[in-house]
Amino acid sequence: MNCRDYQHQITLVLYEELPETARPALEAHLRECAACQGVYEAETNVHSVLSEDTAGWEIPSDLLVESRRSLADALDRVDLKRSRWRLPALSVILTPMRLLESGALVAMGLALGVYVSNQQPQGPIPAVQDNQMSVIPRNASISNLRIVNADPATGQVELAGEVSQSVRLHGQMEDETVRSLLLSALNDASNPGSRLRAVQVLAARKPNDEPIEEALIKALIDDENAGVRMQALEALREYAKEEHVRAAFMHTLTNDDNEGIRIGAIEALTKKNSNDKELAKTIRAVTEKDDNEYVRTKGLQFVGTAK
Amino acid sequence: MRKISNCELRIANFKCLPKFEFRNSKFEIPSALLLVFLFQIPLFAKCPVSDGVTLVVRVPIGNLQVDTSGRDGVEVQVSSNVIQVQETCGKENIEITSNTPDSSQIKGTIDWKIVTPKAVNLDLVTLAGNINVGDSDGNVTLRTSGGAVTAGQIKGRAAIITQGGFIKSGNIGGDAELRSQGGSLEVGDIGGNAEFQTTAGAIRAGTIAGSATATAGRTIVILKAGDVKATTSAGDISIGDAGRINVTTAGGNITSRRARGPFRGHTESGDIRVDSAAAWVEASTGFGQIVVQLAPENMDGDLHVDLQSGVGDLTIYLPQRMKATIDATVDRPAFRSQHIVSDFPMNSAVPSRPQGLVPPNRFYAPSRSRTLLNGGGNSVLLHTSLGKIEIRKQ
Repeated sequence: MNCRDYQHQITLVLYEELPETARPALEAHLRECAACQGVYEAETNVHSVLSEDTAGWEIPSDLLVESRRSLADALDRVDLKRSRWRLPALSVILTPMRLLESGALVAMGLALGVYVSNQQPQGPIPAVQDNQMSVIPRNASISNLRIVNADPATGQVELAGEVSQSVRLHGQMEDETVRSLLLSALNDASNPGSRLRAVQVLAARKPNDEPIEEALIKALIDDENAGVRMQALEALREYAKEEHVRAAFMHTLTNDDNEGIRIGAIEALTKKNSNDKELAKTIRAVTEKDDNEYVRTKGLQFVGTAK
Repeated sequence: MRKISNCELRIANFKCLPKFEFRNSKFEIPSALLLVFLFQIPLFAKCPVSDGVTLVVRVPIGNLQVDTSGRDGVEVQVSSNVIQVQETCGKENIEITSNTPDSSQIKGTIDWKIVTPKAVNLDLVTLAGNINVGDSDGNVTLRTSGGAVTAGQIKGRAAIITQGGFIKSGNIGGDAELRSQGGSLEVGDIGGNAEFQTTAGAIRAGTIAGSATATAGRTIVILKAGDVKATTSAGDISIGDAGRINVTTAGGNITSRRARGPFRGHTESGDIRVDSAAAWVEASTGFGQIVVQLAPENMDGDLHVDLQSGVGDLTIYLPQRMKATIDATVDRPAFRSQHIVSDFPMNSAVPSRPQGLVPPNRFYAPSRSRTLLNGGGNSVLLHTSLGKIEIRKQ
């Protein structure tokens, strides 16, 4: 490329039309070439002045992008009729029209990639259809976009990337999918607030439902957050007579480092198993060296009252 | 038969039970039976009270049930005969203590019933048991190594501490300090400053006349307060109406109906909503939406805004008269929908890029818009990595 080509790219840069792949070369050239550096600064100044002049205009901020994308969509349809494309990466001389083609190519390829990966991951690449753009939600963003395959001969291209989109779902807790998501939130969520909320919601409905109960027990024993453990304990308190819940409470009584949770466990155990002598002996053994006076005393009292 | 005058140190049932004089031998047998009976019934002692006196209770075990409907003295009953009550009557303090029973003697629950006038200050400690106190006109200190604590309306200051178990209290007239390792804290209105702490529990408080500091393991709800500083390791934070607000949650929503002073809020995951902010606002969330309505009383004050979301939409309502320099950025704009929507005219700006000379292509680059309101002024920074930004007129 010569200086003329680079100076042409400067205009594209200022209008944010230059592909990422061309930027390093341009930057390198500008560092070395004083003439082009001068052109760059002059163009930048002009661009700034023009930008200032538009300050009073009530133009939607996304007009340029939206216009470009609309045009790209139109070109997309035109390009479908062509026998072959030129990939932007292979273009030596970049023109605005070719950039628009590139945009269209990226959009179509992305749609194709998403379609292929979702529908027919093992099969042949289907023909590009106009409506494939619709598989990408309007408010989604795309990241890590990369070209997986490109065949200049046929014009087929496969792109891959990640589509991110915020979603809010509504559904009944009885719904299997909803319940699975809630259990997933409890077991897998990295955020303690999400886990806490999941415990609250699950406990409010059917805490003695087996999968829910198991999830609550897991939270009681394993969760690193004391608030989540306490919430799970409160949810299971009513079921402290059931064998596996009782075992979980004994585990908590023996191992939990939070005094408040141990106290909650022993209170639930002693309240719901008042006639269990064997349990009383076990509790006595577990609690006699507990750091907390109340826990020790509660263990003693339970031995005295268990019939 | 008459009651003998008070003594300074009395050991219930043993040394200083009410003594009786017998004028007639015909009373000897019934009296003897009565004494035998007194040895069998729950232990009992009584001290007269004067104004400003503090009832100090230090017991090694048992639930404390304090009835504040007494008139002229302090009465104590214990449900177990392994406890020997020691009662010291003084002008400033009435002290009730007991022996520590051997562990082999402890069978079942031990309950202390204490009847005292409302005006008495209370300083109660049980090493193992619940505490239940009625209304009090004095200052109250209640401590237990474990167990629940409940209290009625307290006119004075209150310090209530348990290593585990919940705390529930009615209104507190003065400063309040409530602490628990595991249980939740629930209190009515507080006339002074408030300090709440629970490692694994939730906090719920009414109107706090002074400032509030709250640290919790779960949800925090304060209806109204002066300044508020609140932190929770999991759960929502809701501050209805407060002056300066500084809140942080490791996960959960943050809401405030009205912030009369500066607002600073951070959640790792959750929404933030401030319905009316009178001063500057700094809010950030890892995942979640932020909605802030700026409603300043003083347009000349510091009204800077900094809203940051990792993934989530931002919405800010600004007064039309406000002087502001708005800078809105979406790192990863939506593929096809509008990502910065403003009721004010905005200029699309070249995204800042710390390294490199040439700005990146917009297809992959942040979307950024800037504008000046009324000539510019307060910095309004709006930034989300993935989401939409809305700037609305108030």
